[in-house]
Amino acid sequence: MKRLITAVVMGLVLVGASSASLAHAQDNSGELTRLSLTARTTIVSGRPIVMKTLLLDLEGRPVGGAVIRLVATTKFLGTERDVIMDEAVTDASGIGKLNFSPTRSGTAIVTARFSGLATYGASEASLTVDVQRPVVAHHRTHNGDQSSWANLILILVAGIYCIYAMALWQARKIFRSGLRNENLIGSTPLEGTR
Amino acid sequence: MSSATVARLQEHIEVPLRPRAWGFKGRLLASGLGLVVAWGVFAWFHQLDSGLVVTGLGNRVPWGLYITDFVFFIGISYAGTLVSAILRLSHAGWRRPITRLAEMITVVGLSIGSVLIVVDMGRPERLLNVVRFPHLHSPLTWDMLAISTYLIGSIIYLYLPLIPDLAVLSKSPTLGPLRRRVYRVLSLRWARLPEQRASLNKSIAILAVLLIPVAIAAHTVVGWIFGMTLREGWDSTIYGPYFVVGAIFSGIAGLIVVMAILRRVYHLEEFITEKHFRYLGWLLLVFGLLYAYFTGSEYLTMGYKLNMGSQSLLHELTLGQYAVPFWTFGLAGLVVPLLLLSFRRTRTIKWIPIAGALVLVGMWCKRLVIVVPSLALPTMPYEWGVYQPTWVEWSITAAAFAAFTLMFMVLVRCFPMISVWEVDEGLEREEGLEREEGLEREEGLELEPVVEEPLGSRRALAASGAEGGKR
Repeated sequence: MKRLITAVVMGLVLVGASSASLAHAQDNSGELTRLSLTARTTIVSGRPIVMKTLLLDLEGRPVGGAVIRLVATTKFLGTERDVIMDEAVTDASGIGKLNFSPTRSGTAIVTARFSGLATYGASEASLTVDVQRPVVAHHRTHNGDQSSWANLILILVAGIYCIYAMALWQARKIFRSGLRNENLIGSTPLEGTR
Repeated sequence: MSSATVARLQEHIEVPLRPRAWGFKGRLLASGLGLVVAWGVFAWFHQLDSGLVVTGLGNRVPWGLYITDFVFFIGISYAGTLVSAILRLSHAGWRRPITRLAEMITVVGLSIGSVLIVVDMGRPERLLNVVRFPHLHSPLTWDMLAISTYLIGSIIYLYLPLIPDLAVLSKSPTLGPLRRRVYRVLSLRWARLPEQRASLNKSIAILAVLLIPVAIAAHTVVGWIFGMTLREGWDSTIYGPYFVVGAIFSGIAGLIVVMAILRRVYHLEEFITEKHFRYLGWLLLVFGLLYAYFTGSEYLTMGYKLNMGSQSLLHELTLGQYAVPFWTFGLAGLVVPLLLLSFRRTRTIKWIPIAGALVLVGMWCKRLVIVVPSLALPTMPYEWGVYQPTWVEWSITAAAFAAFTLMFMVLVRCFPMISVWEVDEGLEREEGLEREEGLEREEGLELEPVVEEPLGSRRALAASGAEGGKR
């Protein structure tokens, strides 16, 4: 009995899954499409760029009115997920324009995705872009230079204090000369001779 | 040392340069100033207790009167370096009677300026963090390093030329035993021995050479506190030299005013003569013109480019809420003093100190219009920030000026305000020159013209008859 129930449940699950995939296939069962994505592959973090998509059917005719989503894969809580960055509708020439604004430097993989229509099947295209750090006018120098400057300032200040010490050392000579003079003639300071 | 020279030296110190006890008026003034300082200390404790909320400072305008006063007093302190160090190195003989006053102004001005930084901080104990965790890329750290180095150097530079005078004072029978003992310790057993003079001159020369770049660095760094930011009005490449010239300008003005007051109060007409005022008047004129040039250059380039921030800032400065201090600076601080100093008729002992006083008022206003409006100017599309100093800030400002005067009075009370040994050295040099001239005349040689004018001294007075020392 137990085996029977298990077999029925598994059978139902399998039927459900196959029917769902069949339905999905039916959704995109229209004419196959080709999606292309073009943009600069070297970009700067913080500066948005426009990525261009072109959606064509198999015979090379443009597909207008199709929704194209720009998706970037990101890691969230240890799991990779797709994040929709922008969305555009293709024009009569099949062209869609998507804005992409990178926020971090490094390599990013962006995907333009067409989910399909009743008459057109789904398609997608990916592009790997190299996102570089921005060069700002008042950027900080790297650590090596900073340490050098700091050391230079410290050396300068130390040098100044050394010269102060030299001046005070001369004052010490004044004291020693005066003491020697007093010991020699046993007199008060003003009675000493020049 | 000849007995006549010693006698003259002692005479100079005893009458009239010996530090004298305050009279009734002096005690009254000192008490009044002490009360103002005490009130300022009370205001500061109130600020510490309640926080900076009792001031007009806020997140929009975090710097106000305190930083204005700080820049002003640091500027005044330039007097010592310029007059004492530069003139000493250039062997300008006329400097001798005024170097001590200049050095005292430096030490007092730097001390007051440094304290004002602490007052400006809501949490003064955090000042220690600048030492504990120094961030050497910050202009604020540079400022602390430069000013403390300048202050220490200035104290040594004030002390060293005092040594010979302290030795004389330590023998003065009119002083109490404790004071004489202190003077004796501080005088390092000075006996005017040749090797002592050599050591003293060497140490003073070392410091004079060093203090000029240190002072320039200190004032440049004060300028960089503003110039290193991207704020409208501060974002300028000339702020370093602009501040140095401004500091020299106000420093000379401060020295002239102090000289005029002490000359009148202590009857120093014999030593501080019209010549000193005239020479310093020339210096004030030159640096005033330089400062006017820098100011014109600064505002002209800002006004010509006239981006939105500059437009707003210039409007507020010239016609808006900061017009009064701005034009006070322009007229009282530049135009009127420069006119007074330009004409022979007004370049006199009467008008030069007035010009100096006007410069001081004008330069304080200038520091105010440098500090506050650039902070009040919005960097986002908002209204202008509002800064209205409260009684706490005015009290502490008044206390700073009172403390400056009081500290100066105390210094003058304890130490000779004129470097007697240097004046005497000048007299000896004149004697030597006169002797050489006499010998040359006897030998029938042609005389070389003497470039250096004789000092305003007893000898000069004797030569000039009853001119009252106004040579």
